[in-house]
Amino acid sequence: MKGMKKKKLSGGQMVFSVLFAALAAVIGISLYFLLREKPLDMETAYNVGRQEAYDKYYQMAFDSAEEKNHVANYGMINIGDVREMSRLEVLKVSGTEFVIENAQDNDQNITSWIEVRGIGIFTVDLTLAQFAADSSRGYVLVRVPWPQLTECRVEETGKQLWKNDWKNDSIGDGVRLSQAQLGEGQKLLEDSMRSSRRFYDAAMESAEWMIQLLVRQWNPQIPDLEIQVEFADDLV
Amino acid sequence: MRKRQAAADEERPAVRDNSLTSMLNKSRIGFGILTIMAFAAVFLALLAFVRQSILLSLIEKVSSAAGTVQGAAQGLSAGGEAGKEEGLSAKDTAVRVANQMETTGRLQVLLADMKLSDIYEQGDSYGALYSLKGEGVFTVDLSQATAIYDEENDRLVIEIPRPEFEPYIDNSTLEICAEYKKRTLFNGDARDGYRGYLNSRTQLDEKIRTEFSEDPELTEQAEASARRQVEQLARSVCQSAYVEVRFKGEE
Repeated sequence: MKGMKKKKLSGGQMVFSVLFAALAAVIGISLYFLLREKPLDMETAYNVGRQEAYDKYYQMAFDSAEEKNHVANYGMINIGDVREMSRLEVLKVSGTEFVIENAQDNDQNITSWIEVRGIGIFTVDLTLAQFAADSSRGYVLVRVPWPQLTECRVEETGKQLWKNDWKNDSIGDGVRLSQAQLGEGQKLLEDSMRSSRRFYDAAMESAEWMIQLLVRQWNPQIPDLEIQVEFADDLV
Repeated sequence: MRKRQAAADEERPAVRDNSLTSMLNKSRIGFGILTIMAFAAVFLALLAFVRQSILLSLIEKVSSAAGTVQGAAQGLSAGGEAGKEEGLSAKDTAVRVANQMETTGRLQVLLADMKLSDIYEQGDSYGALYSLKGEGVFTVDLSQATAIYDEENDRLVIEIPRPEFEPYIDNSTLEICAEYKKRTLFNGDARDGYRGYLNSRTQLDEKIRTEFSEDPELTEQAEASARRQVEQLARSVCQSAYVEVRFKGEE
């Protein structure tokens, strides 16, 4: 060890070392406690930041997409003939039809099978009805025309199978197809309701029951009123 | 003389000083130890926190990543098989009764022929002017009607609810009068156009219903007709001398 000089620490360096160690320990302990108490705040800050960013970008994306796809309708109704009538709605029916459009049926290569749901109303025209009453016997004969399907409307669409090629075509193609399928759906619904024997039978039964109920309700002074309802073709 | 003194110094054993100051003074290791201790304290404090959050999370993530690789391989295989079974099970099956019917007791008292013209716009790339025909019907719900017979005066008072409006637009009568399509390569998606029109029809029916129900002229006409039709009908079937028809809530 000869020739090696050992450098001694001065008094100032000693004090500095001790103070530094103490300071580091204090900072360390402080940091430990500070940070140990803060995880919840960090989590909150994270969640707040995330929510704010989500809201901001959601709104931006929403506004942009809404503007791009905004559908507006300006509808104008022209009222034609208005007429008074006395048609008794005797049966309300609902029906479902599938309208099929295959890819080979159109130039856009679109396949669209859609379920169209609608309602129909069977009515009996009471303006043509004939009433014959025999007060002495407490008997009323009501002759009415056969029930008819007079109203039909597409209520909603249900399940749809939609396939298209990569081109996606255009909005106009979609609107046109939608219009065509709704129109066809309406025709199919009307045809199926009009050709249903079950609906006509139910409409007749309902009409008979309803007319009897009305006549009885409007003649409360005659408790044992006998009412007969007859469907006739010769009523014009 | 000097040589003798030096030899004597070498032979004399060194006096040991055990105080901390002396030890630190003897080498720079002391300073180093203190510094290391200071940093160690900070490190440990930080570690205590980091252990709770980041480090554990990191370790978890590393473990998780290793597990993910193995799990993914096993999961893909097992899940694929199970999913195929599930998919082919046809559990996604729904059945609903298509044709239903219900008795209704409404009397149609006023019918209006209608023609709906609509300017349809979707974004800035499509527009169309089209028209549809249909009819609007005002009905009175006779199932809600009540009849009170005044025996003394032989008078029947029938109370009926006010007429309600229902539109019946016929989709098969569509006529397209004009159409605009923006000339661009990417002109939207046909599916969007399809959905846009379907929703428009629903919205239009709803707006027509509201508009007509609030139209004072038509409503008044419908009420007058309702009163007349029910009265006429009641007179045909009623054996009483007097028949009076009024709306519910009316004095």
